[in-house]
Amino acid sequence: MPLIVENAAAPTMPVGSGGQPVPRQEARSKVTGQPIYAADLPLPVDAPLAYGYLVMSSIARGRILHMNLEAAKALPGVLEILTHESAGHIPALETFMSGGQGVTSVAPLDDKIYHAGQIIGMVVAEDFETAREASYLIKVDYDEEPAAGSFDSPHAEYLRGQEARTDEHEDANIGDVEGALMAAAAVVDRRYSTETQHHNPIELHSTTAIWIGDELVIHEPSQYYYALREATATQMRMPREKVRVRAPFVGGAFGCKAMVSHRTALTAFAAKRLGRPVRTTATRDQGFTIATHRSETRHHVRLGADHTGRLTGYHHDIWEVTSRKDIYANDGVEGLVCLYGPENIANTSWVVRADRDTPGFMRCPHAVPPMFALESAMDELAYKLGMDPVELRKRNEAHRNPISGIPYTANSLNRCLDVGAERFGWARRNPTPCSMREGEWLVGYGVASCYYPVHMFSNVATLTVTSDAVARYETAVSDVGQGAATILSQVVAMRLGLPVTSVETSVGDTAFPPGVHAGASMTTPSAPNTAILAADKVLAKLGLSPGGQGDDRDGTIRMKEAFARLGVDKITEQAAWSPPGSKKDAIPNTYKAKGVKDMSEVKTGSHRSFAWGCNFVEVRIHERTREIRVARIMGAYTAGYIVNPRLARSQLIGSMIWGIGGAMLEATVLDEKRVRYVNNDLAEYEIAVNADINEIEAFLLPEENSDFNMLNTKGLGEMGNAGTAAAIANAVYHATGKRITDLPINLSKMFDDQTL
Amino acid sequence: MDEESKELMLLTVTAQPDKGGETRIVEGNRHVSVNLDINGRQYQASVDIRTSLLDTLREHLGLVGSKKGCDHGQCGACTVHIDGEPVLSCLSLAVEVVGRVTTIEGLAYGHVLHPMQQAFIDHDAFQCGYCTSGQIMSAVSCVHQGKAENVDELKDFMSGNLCRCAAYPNIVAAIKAAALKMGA
Amino acid sequence: MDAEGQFLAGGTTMVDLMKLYVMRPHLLVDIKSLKGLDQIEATEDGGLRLGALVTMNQAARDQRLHDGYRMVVRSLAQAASQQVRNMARLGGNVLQRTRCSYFRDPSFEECNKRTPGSGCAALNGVNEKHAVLGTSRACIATYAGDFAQSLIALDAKVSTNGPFNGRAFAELHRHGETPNIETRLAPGELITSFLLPPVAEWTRRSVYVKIRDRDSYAFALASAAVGLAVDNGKVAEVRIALGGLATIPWRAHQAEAVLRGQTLSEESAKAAAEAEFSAAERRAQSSYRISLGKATIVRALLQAQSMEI
Repeated sequence: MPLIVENAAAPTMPVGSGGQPVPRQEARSKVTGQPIYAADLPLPVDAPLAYGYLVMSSIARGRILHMNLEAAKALPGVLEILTHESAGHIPALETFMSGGQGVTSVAPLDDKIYHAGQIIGMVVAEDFETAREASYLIKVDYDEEPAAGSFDSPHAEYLRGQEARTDEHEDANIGDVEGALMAAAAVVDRRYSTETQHHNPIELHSTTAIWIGDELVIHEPSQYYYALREATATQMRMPREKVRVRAPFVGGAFGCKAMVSHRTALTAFAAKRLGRPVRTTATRDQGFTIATHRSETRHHVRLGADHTGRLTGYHHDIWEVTSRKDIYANDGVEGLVCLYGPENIANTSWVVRADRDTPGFMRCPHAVPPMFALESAMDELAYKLGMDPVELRKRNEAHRNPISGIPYTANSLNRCLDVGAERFGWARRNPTPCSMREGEWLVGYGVASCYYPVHMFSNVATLTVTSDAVARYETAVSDVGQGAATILSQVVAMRLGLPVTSVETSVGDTAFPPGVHAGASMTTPSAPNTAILAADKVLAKLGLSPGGQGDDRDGTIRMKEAFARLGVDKITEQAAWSPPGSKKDAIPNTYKAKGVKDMSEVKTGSHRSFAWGCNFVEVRIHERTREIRVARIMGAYTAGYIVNPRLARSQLIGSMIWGIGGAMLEATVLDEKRVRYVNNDLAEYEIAVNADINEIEAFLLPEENSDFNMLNTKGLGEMGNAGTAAAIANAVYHATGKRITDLPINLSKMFDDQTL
Repeated sequence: MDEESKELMLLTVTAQPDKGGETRIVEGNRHVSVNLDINGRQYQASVDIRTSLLDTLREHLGLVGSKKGCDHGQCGACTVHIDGEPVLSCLSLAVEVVGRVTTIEGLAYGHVLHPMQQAFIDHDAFQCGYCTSGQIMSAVSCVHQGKAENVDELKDFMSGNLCRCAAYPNIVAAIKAAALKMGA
Repeated sequence: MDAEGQFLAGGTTMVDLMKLYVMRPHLLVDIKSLKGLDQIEATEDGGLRLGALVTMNQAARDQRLHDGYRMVVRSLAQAASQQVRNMARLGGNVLQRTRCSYFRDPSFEECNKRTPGSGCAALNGVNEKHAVLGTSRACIATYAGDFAQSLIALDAKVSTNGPFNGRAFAELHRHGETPNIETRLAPGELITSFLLPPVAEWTRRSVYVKIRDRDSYAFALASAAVGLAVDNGKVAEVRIALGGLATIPWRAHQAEAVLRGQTLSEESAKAAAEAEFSAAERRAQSSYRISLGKATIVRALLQAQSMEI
C-alpha cells in the first residue's frame, strides 16, 4: 500500500466558537438498542458460541504449585480449561509505556503470580452459567510469598523515576528553589495523597473470537484497534493482515481499553482449539485487575511567592505505585509548570514497586493527582498572602514552559478565570473560612485551574463519494462516546460542501485504515486533518474547490454535476496525516501500532498548544453529620475551534462530574494484608449518580488560536476534571477551615477532629 | 454441601402457604424450556436453569439492546419492564419470569420513536450510549410513576442507572421534556 | 429454609449471591405467586399488616404508611435503587445479607458467616464500613438494610407459617459467635407478614435519617429511625433504631432510656447518643462512624421534634 506523509498547509477554515451542534450520527441506534457494541455483533459464522470465563489468582505473590481441575472438568458442558500447563506457550506483550500494546509484560498464564487477580486460567463451556460454576470449582495450591500492597509495605521497592523509566523522563531542576523559598514572602509546605481509582466504564471487557479459515475476527471494544490487532497477531503468531478487530462503538473506556489484556489471546486460542467461536466477558470484579487503574500517589509540595503573588519557588516530589513487573508512571511536573511558569523548580519523582496489577492511563492521568496537590497549595498560598485565589492565579500568567523555554500558541487561562468568576458569582464569596452558611449547611466556594496539552497522532482514512453526492468516510478510530464519528462526518461534509446527513463515518474496524488512538484527547486535534486531506483529494478529481468556495450553487447539486461531467459513479481516495515534527516512518508505524512512542505533543514551529480552563465550585457540608454536597459547579474552558459545541459541552460536563466523583467518592480500597481490592464492584466502588449533580455549567469561550493543526482544534475530554478535586478541597476549606489533603474528600475526613 | 453437584430445582408455588395448592416444578440441572412474552411476541428458549433474563435476551434470543454492566443489579444497564414496571433483568431468572416483558427494542412504535427516545437524542442524553437502554427504560417508568415533576425526585429515581460518561444533566433535561409529551 | 433449599421472591439477594457462589441452593421455591401476601391491610387494633410479598416500592407509595408511619416510607424510599425496590419484597428485604466484601467473595477463605469456623478476614482487614455495635470476635459484618430499622423501632411483630409466628421483629435477627445463623426462623419457615402497632403520635412524628457520601443509591454509613411523642415539653415516647452501624437492626434502648421523661434538647439528645455508643467497638478505620452515629441520632431527634404532623 503506498503511503505518503502529507502535511499540507492549513487550509482556510472557520475559526471561532464552533461549528454546528448536530446530534450524534449514531444517536438513533443508541436509543433503540441496535447492535453496535462488540458483544452485540452478530457472528459471521454459523457455529454455536462457547463461553469463556477467566480464572484469577487469589494471592498477590508466589507461584502456582497445582491447579486441581477435576471437579470443574466433571461438569457437563465444560469444553476446555486453559492453564499454564494446558495452553502451551503464548508470547508475552510489551507494555504500552515501553512501546508495545499490552497492559502488562507478564506472560499469559504464567505460573508465577505477580498480583492478585492475575489471569491464571480460562474455562470454556457450552454456556456462561456452566463456565462460571466451573471456575469456582477450580482449587489452586500456591507457594505464597510475602507481598507488598502499597507505599508503606516493607516489601515495597522505591526507585528514582528517571532511572527506572523507559520513556526518557527526566526530573525537572531549574534555578535555585531553596534560595527562592527562603526569600519568599509566603511559603506553603504540604503533603498530599490520592487514592487508587478504576475507570469502570459500564461496558464490560468482552472478547469474542471467531476463526474463518486461517483468519481471525475479534469483536472487542478498544480505544486503539490497530494495537489490539498487532498484539493479537503477535500472541497468535500470525500475520497482522489475517486479524480483523471490530466494534463499531465502545461503551466507555477512559483509558482502560487502550491496552491489551491476555483475555484476547486466550479467547482466540480457545476458539482455535475448539473450532468454534468463543466469547469471554470479564466480570466487573475481574475488570479491576486486567485493565489497569489510576495508581495511588503521594506528593510533597513547597510553594513560595513574593509579596505580589508571583511564584518564585516550586518544589514538588511525587511518589507513584507501580507493579512488580512493569513501570508505569505519569509525568513529573513538566506539564504542570506550564500553568504558572515559576522561576525556580525542583522535582524528584519516585516509582514504588508493589505486588499489584500494572497501573495505566485514566482520564487526564498526568494531571489529576499532581494538580490536586498544586492547586490546593495555590489556595493555601493565596490565604497566606491575603490575596484572592483567582487573583493569585491571574498574576502568574505564563507564556512559555519555564523548563524547556518553548512558548505557547496562546494562553487563555486568565480569560477563563475572569469569565468563570463572573458567571459563578465569585464576588459574593466572603473569603473568611466558616463565614457562609445556609440553614443547617455550611457553604464554601473554591476555585482551581486546569489545562491539557494538545497531543496529536498519525492516522489514515478512506473517503468514498458516490455520484449521488453521498460520502462514506472510514477510519479505525474509536468512538468511545466523544463523538469521533459525528465530528468526522461534519468535517468531511463541511469540506465537500455537502449537508452532514449526506456523510456517514464508519469507525472501529481494522478493515479500515489505522485511525487515531483514542486517548490523550487526540482524536479531535488529529483525525479531522486527514478528513480534510481526503476531501481535498476527491474535490481535486472533481475539479471542485473546498467547501463550495466561489460557487453559490447547492453543494449536493454541484457535486452531482461534477460527477456527471467526469462520468464516474464513485471516487475513493485514501489520505494520511501526521503531526508536524513526526518521524518519517510515522504512517507505516500506525499499521503496526507502536503505542505511546507514536504520540507527539504538538510543536508547530517552536510553539506548544494547550486547552485551558478552570472550575468554580460551591460545596455544602451538614453542620452535624458533615456529608459534603456539591451544590454548584461551573467550568469555563477554551479549546480552540469547536467542531460540535453540543458534543463538546457533553464531554466537559461529563468530565466535571468525573472530577466530582473522583474527588469525593472514588477510591479502590486495598486490603494491605492480602494485597487485594475489596470494593471491586459498582455497589462498593461508588461513582457519582444522578442525584449527586445539581447546578452545573460548562462554558466554552471562543479562542482565536492558530497554526497548530488545520482546524485549530484541541482535545477537551481530559481537561475538565484536571482541577476539580482541588476546587472542591478549597471550597471545603472555605466552608469549614479544614484542609483536606488526602483524597477522597468525604465525611470520614470531617470527623477526625472537632473543627466544626 | 456436595461441592461438585450442580443440581438445581425450581418450585413455583401459587397457593396460600398452609392451604395446599398448585405447584410447578422446574427440574433441573440442564436446560429447561422457557416461554417469554417480549415486546408483544412469543419467544421460546432452552436455557440453563440459572440463566438470567438478561442473558436469555442477549445470548439466546438475539435481543441485545439490554446491556450487561455488572450482572449484579448495581448499574441499571439491564433495566427492562415486566408488566410495565422496571426490573433488573440480570437479577431475574428467565425461568421465573411471569408477565409481559418490554425491552428497549419494543419501545418505539414501528419507526416512530417513543417520546423518551426522541428526547434523549434531542438533549444528547448519552455519550458512549451503553447505559442508555436502561436509562430510557427507567426514564419511562419515572414519568409513569409521577416522579418527573419534581427534579429532586427525578434525580433520585434515576440514580439506580449509572452513567459513567456522566450525561446526568442531559438525562434530566430529556426526561423533563419527554414528560410533557407523554402527559399530552 | 436451609442451605439446600431457599425461597425465591424478588431475587435481588438470592440471584446476586448465587452468581457469586456464596449461596448455592439445590432447591429454589419461587413464592412470588403465593396468594394473599401482597397486600397492606388494616388490623383490628388500628395497626397495619404488611404482607411479606409487598414490594418495597408498593409500601413506599402507600398513603396509610405515609400518614401514620413516616419512618417506614422514608426508610424504604432511601433504600437501594428504584428497580431493586420494585423487585424486592418486604419479607426478603429484612433478610438481606451483609455487604461485607469478605463474605461476598468466596476466594477469601476466612469468613465465619459463609464458612463457619474459618475466621474473620475483616478483623485484620478492611473494616471501615463494618459494625461498631453488636460485634463479636466471630463477625463484624454490618447489617445493610434500612426498612428493618423502622420495624424494630415500631416494635413490629412477625407472622410466619412456623414457630416464630407472633414474635417480635426485634427477636428475628441474631448475632454472636455463630454468625452463619442470622435469624431465629426454623428451617423452611416463611415470613408471611409484619404487624405494625396502632397509629400514635410517635409513629406519625417519625423520621428516617440516612447518611452517606453519595446522595442516593448507597448503603448507610449511619442511619437513624426515630419516633417521638412529646407531652408538656417532656419526652412521652421515643423510639430510636440505628442502621449501618451494627451487625443486626439495632434498637437504641440506652439512648431512649436517657430521653424518656426528659426535655428534648441539643444537650439531652447528645447525652442520649453518648449513652448508646458508650460500649461501641472502636477500630482505627471505623471510629469516625461512632462520631457520625452520634451526630445522626441528634439530627434525627431534632428533625422529628420540629416535624409538622
